[in-house]
Parts: sequence; C-alpha cells; structure tokens
Amino acid sequence: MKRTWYLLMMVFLLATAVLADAPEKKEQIVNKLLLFDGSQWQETFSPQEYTTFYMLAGSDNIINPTKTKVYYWPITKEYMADYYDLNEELEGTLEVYKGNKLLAELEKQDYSFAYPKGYYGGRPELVSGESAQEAAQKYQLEVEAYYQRVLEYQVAMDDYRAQLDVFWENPEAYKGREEEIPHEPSQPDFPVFYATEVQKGYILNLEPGTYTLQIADEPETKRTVVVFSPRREGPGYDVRPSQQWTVPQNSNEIKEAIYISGKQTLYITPYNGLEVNQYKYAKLKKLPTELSGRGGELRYFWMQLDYMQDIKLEVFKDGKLIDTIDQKMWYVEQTADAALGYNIIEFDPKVQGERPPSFEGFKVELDDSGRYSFRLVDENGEVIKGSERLIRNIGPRSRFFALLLPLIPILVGTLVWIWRSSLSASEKGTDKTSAPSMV
Amino acid sequence: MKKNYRAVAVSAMARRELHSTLFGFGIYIAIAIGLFLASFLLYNYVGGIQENGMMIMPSSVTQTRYYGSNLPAVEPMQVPLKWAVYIGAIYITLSASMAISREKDQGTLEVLFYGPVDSVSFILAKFVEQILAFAVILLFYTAYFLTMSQISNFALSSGFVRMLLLSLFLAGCMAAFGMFISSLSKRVKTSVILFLVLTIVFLSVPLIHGLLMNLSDDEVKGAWSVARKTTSYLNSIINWVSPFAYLERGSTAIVLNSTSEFIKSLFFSLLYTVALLFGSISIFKRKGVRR
Amino acid sequence: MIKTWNLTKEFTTTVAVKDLDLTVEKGQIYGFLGPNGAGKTTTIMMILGLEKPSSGTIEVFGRTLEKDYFPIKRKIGVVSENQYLYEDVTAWEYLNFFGRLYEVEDREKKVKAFLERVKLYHRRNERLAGYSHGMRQKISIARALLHDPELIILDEPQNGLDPYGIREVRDIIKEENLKGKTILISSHILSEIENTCNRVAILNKGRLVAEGPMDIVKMKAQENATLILELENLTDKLKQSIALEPYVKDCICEGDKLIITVDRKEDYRAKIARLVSEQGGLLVGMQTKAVSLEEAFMKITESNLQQLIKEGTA
Repeated sequence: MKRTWYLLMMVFLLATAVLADAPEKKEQIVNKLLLFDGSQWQETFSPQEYTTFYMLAGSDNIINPTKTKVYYWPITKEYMADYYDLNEELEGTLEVYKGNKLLAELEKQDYSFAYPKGYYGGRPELVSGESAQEAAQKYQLEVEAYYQRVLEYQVAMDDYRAQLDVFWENPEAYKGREEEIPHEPSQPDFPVFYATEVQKGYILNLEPGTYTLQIADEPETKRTVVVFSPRREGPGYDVRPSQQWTVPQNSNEIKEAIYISGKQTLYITPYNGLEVNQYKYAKLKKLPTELSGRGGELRYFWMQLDYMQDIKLEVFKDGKLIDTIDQKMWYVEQTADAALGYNIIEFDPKVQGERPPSFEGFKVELDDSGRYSFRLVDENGEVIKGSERLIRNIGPRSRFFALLLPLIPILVGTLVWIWRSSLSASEKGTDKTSAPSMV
Repeated sequence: MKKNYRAVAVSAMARRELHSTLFGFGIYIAIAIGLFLASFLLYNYVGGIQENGMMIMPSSVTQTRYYGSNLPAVEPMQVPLKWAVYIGAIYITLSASMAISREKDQGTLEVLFYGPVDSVSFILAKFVEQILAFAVILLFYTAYFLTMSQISNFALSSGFVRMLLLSLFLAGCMAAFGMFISSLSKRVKTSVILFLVLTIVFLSVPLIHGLLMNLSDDEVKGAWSVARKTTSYLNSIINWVSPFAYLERGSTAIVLNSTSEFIKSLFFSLLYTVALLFGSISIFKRKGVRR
Repeated sequence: MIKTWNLTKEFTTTVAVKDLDLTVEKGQIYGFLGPNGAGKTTTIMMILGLEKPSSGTIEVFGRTLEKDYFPIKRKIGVVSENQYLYEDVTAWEYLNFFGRLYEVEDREKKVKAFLERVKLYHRRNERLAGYSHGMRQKISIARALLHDPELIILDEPQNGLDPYGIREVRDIIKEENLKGKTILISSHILSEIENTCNRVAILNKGRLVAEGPMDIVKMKAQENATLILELENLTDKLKQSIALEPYVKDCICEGDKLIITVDRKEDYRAKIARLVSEQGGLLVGMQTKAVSLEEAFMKITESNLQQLIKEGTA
C-alpha cells in the first residue's frame, strides 16, 4: 500500500514539474490597446498572431505599438505580454488607412483618465493634451491639499487629546460650562476627484468601417482595425421580485414583458445598455484569447453598463399615470425568527450605520388586476427613449388549460374516425338514393 | 388559352390526398403531440413565474454578463411553437416519405397514370398535399396559441408570425425531403427505415459535433481529433442537406432579430425545396410507375 | 385509333415485344391474345406511356404521347387485371375523385349513374376495403368509363369474375361499342373474346403471330378444313369415290353423315357436291365445321413456338 502511495506521489511530482515548465517567450512588436467598451476602457493587446482588433465607433481609444515579450498561456488559451521583461514603446507617426487611402497621420498625445465623481463613482473620462496635464495636476493638488488637511487633523487631534486629559482631571469643574468640553475634530475627506498619471499614446476615434494602421516605416506595427457601432442603445433594468431579491432578472428591450403572478412588489434598477455583436465585442475586450467570441459572429447581446442616476419612474395602470417614483437605496434586513425570512426596508445610514445599502432601485407595488406599464423620465421630465416596459399578469387557470387544449385534436380525430367507421357499417344492404356530401 | 391539364391533375390529386389525411387519425395524433410539447413548455413557464414571482421574456438573445452562457430567451410562445412545428414537420416528412412508395406498393400509382397524370403533376400534387396538411396543422397550432395567449396573457408578437411563416417554408423543405426519400424506394418499409436513419443522422451529428467542439483542444487527441474532424465535415454537409438545419437557421434569425438572415433562410429553404423536388421527379421518372 | 410501328421492348434479359405493328381502327372491339408472358400487358403499358419502348413508334388518336400526353390520356379509359383501389375511400369518393381528375361534366350525376349501372349505388358509402373482388372490378370499370372515353383498354377485365360478372362486363363492352367506342381487350377467356371481338391479334413471345378479322384468323389457324356432308342413300361406293379424291385427306362415316377432311388451300365444296351427284347420291346438307378461337389460338401459338425453336429464338 505504501509503495502505491510513493508511486502516486512520484507521478504527481513529475506531472507538476512538467506543468510548471515556463512558457517560451518571443520578442515581438505588439499593439498595446486601451479600448472603450461603452462605459470604461479595457486593456488588451494585439500580438502578431492576432493582427485584427475591434473597437467601438465614435469613442476615443488608445494605441501604443510596443516591443515586448509574448508567450502563450495554455491554461487560459491566450497570448500574454510580459511588459515587466521588455516594454519599449515605439515612436513615430501613426498612419491610418481606409483601403489604400491615407486617412490620418497621428502623433502621440498625453492622456489621462479622470474620475470626476471618484474612482467608484461613475464613468471615467479620457482627457488628452493639456487637459490631461491639468487633470493630473488637479488630482495631485487635491491629494496634496488632503495631506495638508490630514496634518492639520493630526495636530487638532493632539490638541484634543491634551484638552481631554485636562478635562478628565476635574470633569466636575465643567458643570455649567459644557460648551468648553473638548470636541473631537472630524477626519478630513479623501478627495473625490481622481485622475491617472499622464501617459502618452495615439488616440484613435473612427467611424464604423475597416481600417489599417501602422507607424510609418515600421511594417511590424501594421494592424487592421474593425470599427463597429452598437446595434441599439437604451436603458435596461435589473428587476427584483420582493420574494427573491438576490435573483434579479434583466430586461433590455422595449419589446420585453415582465410576467408576474398575482399581487407583486418589484424593485427596478435601470442601467445603460448596449446591444453589440457578440464576437466583435468579445474580441474588443480580450483579443488574444482563442475562445473569445467563438460562435458568436451572428449573435448580438445586451451589455449592461453603468446604473442610471437622476431619473424618475412613471407607473401606469390601464393607460393612466398612477405614480411617479424616486429611486431609493434599499436594505435587506434578515428577520430574527426561525423562518430565515427577510424584509426589504429603505436604507437609512443613521439606522444601518456602517453597513452599505443592499441595492438601489424603484419600488413598484402591483395589484393582481389591471394592465401595468412603466417608463423613465429624466430630471426635466423628458421620457427616456426605449425605457417603456409592459407588466403582464399571468392568468390563474393557465396550467389547467395548457393540459386541456392538446386533447382537442385527439377529440376531433376520434369524432372523424367514429363517423368514417359508421359510414362503412351502416350502408351495407341499404339502397339510399340521395347522394352523400361532396368529397 | 391552352388549358393547364397538369394544374387540374395536381388540384384533384392534392384534394383527394388531403381528404384522406384529414379522415385518418395520424395527423390528429401529430398535432396533439406537438401541442402537448408546447403545453409542457408553457406549463413550466407559468410554474417558473409562480415560483420566482416573475419572469422576463425577451425577444432577442440577451446576455448581460460577458462570460455567461448564451441564453436564447425568446418570447414565451416562440419556443413552444418551434417545438410544435418540429413535431408537425416530422409528421409531414414521414407522410411524404411514404407518399410515392405507398401508392407504388399498393399499385394505385399505376391506376393514376392510366389517366391524365404525369410525373411532374404527381410529385407536385403530393407536395401540395403535404403543405396543405401542414397548413391544417398550423391552423390548429395558431388556434391553440391564440387561446393560450388569451388565457395565460402571454404575448404574441411579430416573432410568432415570422415563425409561422418560416415553418411553412420548413414544411416545404421537409415535404420535399420526404418525397425525395420516397422516390428512392419502392416499398413503404424501405421509405420509413430510410426516413428514420436519415432523421437520426441529421439530428445526432450536429449534437455530437457540438459536444466534441465543446471539448478543449488539449483533450482532443488521436481518435477524438479524427472524430471531431469527421463530425465537423459531416456537420457542414448536413447544414445544407438536412431540412432541420433550415428551420434552425431561420429560427436563429428570428431569435437574433435579423431580417436579412431571416430572408436569406427563407430563400435557401425555397432553393432546397425546389432542388429536391427536381431530384424526386427525375428519380421517379427513371424508376417508372409500375410495381 | 391505335397504331404501332416496329414496337420493341427489351428488358435486361428478355425481349418482351419485338417489332410489333398493330392497328386498331375506330369502332372496333379488338381482342388482344397471347399466352402468359407474350407481351400483351407490356404492349398496353407502352401504349399508355407507363413503359418506355426500346424502339418503335406509337400513335394514339393519330398523335404521340410525347407531344399530347394529357389530351390523349383524357380520352382513354383503362381497366387492368389488378384491382388497385384506394382502400380508405368509399365508392362514391373514389369515382368522384376520378371525375375531378378527368373534369367530368355533371360529375355527381354521372357518378350516380355509373354506380347504378354497375349495381353498387346502394353501397356507395362503404369503404372500398370492404368490397369483394367482383365489386372492385365493377368499380374499376365504372372508373374507366366515367369520363366517356373514346378508347377503352381492358386488360383481363373478367379475371376472377363469376359467370354473372363476366356477363355484365360483356354487356357493358357491347353497349359501349354500340355507342361508337373503340375497345381493346386483352383476355385469357378466349370464349369471351370470341363472343365480343370483331378483330383479334395474337401475340406470342413478343411477336405478332396472327392478326385480322375473327373468322380469317380462325381460318388461318387450320391447315385442313372439315366438311360435314348430310346424305340420303350413303353408300360405300360413294364414300370410297370421295375418299379417293386427291384433295381428300380423311373420310369418316358417322350415321348418315360423312365427315371429310380436305386441304384448306382451296374451296372444294362445289367439287364434292358435283361428285356426290355424279355418284347418284343426294346431298341434303353440307357444313364447314367451325373452329373455335381456342383451337385456333392453340394451333397458332404452338406452331409459332415450333418455328421459334427452329430459329433458336424461343
């Protein structure tokens, strides 16, 4: 038995040694890509093995032809670039061709990604040229100001602690002089605005079509770029039924209906959506991965982008506006009883304290009768295009009829069969003169 | 104006055949099976809605997570209709695959050809009858789905109408395919065996191919690699030869909401039907009408 | 009405029909005879376009099927020896369908009339699967006649029928012929052909071995003719003097009748009458013994077979 274990261990160790073989790296010129996916910029690259890449029309994208080392990673079936080993960005003029026609000659520009509402607070903006410098500088200044505030805070804290010591020596002395009791200074807020460091790259913004580009006199940098537009754009929704809040379903299209059964409370969270070609979009995000987009050349899908803000939901019943709702934060509170249930309550930071809200959305309460629909309006009361949705209440006897109706053809067939059989049997030996019905 | 005797023959024969089909029991069983299948799906949808509190029925492929699986979530009536159509179409193919061989087997073909019936009119009549029988099946289906839509409140939309239209073209493909099988065989038994074998091949090869394609390249070595290549080759042939492939292409176009792909699929279905009908006529002529 | 020239049908191993020249004129009841495998059905199938000739030409109504398929087919009614019917339909539905196929005017009236004519109107709503052999044949005949065809082709129409059925079919054939219809019958029941046809063709091993009016064909079948003489005062002397005549091959005495077999090359009846008178005999009557079609058929087909064996083609 022991011997078997040793053998197994040996096999395992050998296998591990084989798997651990370092992949072979080859030096080559790739195109580093920072491509806009509808809400943010994705980093990928175009090695010599994948010389066609994809990007969205009408958006700024960054390209940087770079000499680096590339290797194939068999576990995820993708090519990878080792920029730590070699990272030489090429300089020169980037030529953009449409067919044989030279469309543009681009020089490298400074760029930075700015997050006006903070790194986690919404879409970034790509700023270039002087604006990039300004954004980076602004962030730097805000950070410096913050550090200054932190220093001031620490001084204030030291003061506070000293005053507190004095206070504790004779607290009774402060009776009637409560305003003199020391107050703890508040911590300085971290700056909301964020911008990345200024970098250099070629900024491409093209109309839909197929282009070729390369740095002049650098044939190895030559690449084909397929620029595509989303087929449709519009708001989508995460819809949560009150009894299964953890399983939201998506509604991306105006044609889609939300089916409910009986009385229901729904929580609806709108987001921006893009309908894109599955293959192109997959390649936009992960170009050098073998399996990305495979089989999706003809397929389209809705890409869920960022959640929508500063909007209201109008709810209609039988065609009449019955309610205009504001979006709120919701908190899911576990009930204490043995049933392990929960309540969805409005989020209140005073009550919930440090705990984050569970989700954000519009609460819509529906009866088991009437035809409901809803739509979004912006701050100005303008209806947001493509935001309308119907809510359909499933008939209570649907399942019964689903079982009953397929029996009808059998009934018809049986009646026909009985009739035909009766014809053969009844006519023998008779002499009716009237002609039967026509064939 | 020269009288079109062929049209008269086609009309008379198709009418008789339809009459015979409607007075038989087979068509009603096929319709019932199709509807039971549709009902089973609708039953599950209703169950899902009741259990989960709600369900969203989109009309195109929706996939909100990039790495998620491809969910062809279509409007509620579309998938049940598609499966019901499959059953109807299989019935039509089986019926068509016996259309010539049965008459040859029974000798009634010879009697027909004593009169003003030729190969073209005979094949066309059989084809028209299959289409008419399928139209009857679709009538039942439409009535069922309209009723179910009223009862359940599930929506019927343009995708449903498109599916109905596409299914007629599919019926053309299936009927032509069945006729082709029938023209190859002299006996009903041979036709049925041929139909079953081809149907199994047409349905199983794409399935096996799909399974093999899902294996990672590392796993596919030696015999597996040969199997993958073979099924891949067979699958590309079956994509053009199998009538089921034409429905699949069309319904994918509907799900993808692609009008151009939908029209293309209708055109190819038509081409397939015409080619097989020509083939059937030519084989039929060569084989003759006598037992 | 029907004309064939050098009509030949060769199958892989056999020659079913060889150089067949056939002419069926309007208004004839034409009998088509031959032993099994003679090529009768193959010929009929070629006339109907169900078999393609290996060579030769066929004209029906002075036209070819290649050019006028539908107009020709609409004027022909066919009854075959096999009763291939749609089993799942009623007699009424069956005839109604063929009425539609041939675009029969006043279809329902005619269907009714034909069902009455074949005495099946009372069972019109019964499915054909339940019909007896005779009833099925009657329905086939009704189907063939429903569209008032100019040419009726019957291939073994009386096969398997009882005597009543055979008679009914015979009556129908004669009725239709009286209306001016041309009828081509192929049958094994030679007595029926003899009773109904005014012209016959005999086919053997794919070849036409005899063709013409019924009497002529029967005559052709004989090498010798048999004369029956009815005499008063039949004496041995008279018998011997007749027997001594060179053209007399046999002479038998049966009561007061003398049965003489003579060479068929000439009509010797006048010579014999004269001889009887010269020998003092009194001739009360003289008959030529009729040859049945069956005898003629056997004779012709056997002699043809002998010839074919000699030629080495049988």
